[in-house]
Amino acid sequence: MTPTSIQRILSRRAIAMLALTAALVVSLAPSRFLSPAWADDPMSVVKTTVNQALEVLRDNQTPLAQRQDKLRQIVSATFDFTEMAKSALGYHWKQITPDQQQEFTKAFVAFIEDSYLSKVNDYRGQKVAFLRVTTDGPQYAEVNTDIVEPEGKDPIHLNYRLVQEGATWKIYDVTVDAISIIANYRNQFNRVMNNQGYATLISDLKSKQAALAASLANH
Amino acid sequence: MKPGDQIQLDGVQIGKVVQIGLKDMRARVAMRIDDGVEIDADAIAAVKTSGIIGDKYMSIALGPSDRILKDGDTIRQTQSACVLEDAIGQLINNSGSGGDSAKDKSSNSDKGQKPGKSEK
Repeated sequence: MTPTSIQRILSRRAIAMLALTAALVVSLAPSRFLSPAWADDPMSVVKTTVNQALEVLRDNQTPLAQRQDKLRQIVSATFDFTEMAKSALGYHWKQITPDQQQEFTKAFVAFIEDSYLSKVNDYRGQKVAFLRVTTDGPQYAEVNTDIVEPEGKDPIHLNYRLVQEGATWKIYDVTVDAISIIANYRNQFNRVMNNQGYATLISDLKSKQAALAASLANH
Repeated sequence: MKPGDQIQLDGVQIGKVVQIGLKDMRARVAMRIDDGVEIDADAIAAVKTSGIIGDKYMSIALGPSDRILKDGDTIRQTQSACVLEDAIGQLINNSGSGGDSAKDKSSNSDKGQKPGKSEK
């Protein structure tokens, strides 16, 4: 991989963070925003969520803090954060106590939310093309979307992985240009758990989240 | 990837790639895993490179599931070769040694750099 291609990937990563923010942001609480068709199929779930998020991102009139709150609601309604936290920690999840599992989930969710909410103001009019759904048995599905850049640049491939929980489809992972969020966190967390242990991991996670929260508060 | 490439867990070889093909227009990799190695249903299989232009290998990251895969099962979650760690130079040590094979498992991923889901 050349330095140029690395630079391109990192640059696209920054854009992808924004794209993911759009994805994470627009899935408001089901009781307020969703029709009964919401739970019918994975594409409806993603489409509704993303379109609602884009609406919030485009809304320059509402104060930032309110928009972030809306996005937070959207995210919590659509993403299975408990499962994401569990999966991100990998097999180490079984090695920590139930109290630590709860602590880790809370810290992880706060970290993820604040990471992407901090990008809300970076939105530059990107649009989303909903491409296709592929299923993997009755319980799993993947929805492929493209984030279309306004200046004719290459689109960013943003795919949502969903699992059916009862009558509802929940997002448990997102891939940005083929990079899985969960796989990457699992690699990083695995390294810290193996080398330094849970105390360091939770301490680092809390520190980073606190820094992000402070940055959000100062916006 | 090619047959004979390593399967690694935490940098240690635990098996080898035995076959690569296409199924439903997605890459399907058959793996032979060493005796005594348990891989759970939430494991993630990722194609990685040993060094910037080195050989490809399959890295397994174990998940939190209590369900252990059996012979012929498939790793559902996959990750393409283009992982973030590669992009920022955080390469994973690929040293290790392997043993005799006993079990066959497989994982699917889309063609090119796009990760896909695998089948049970």
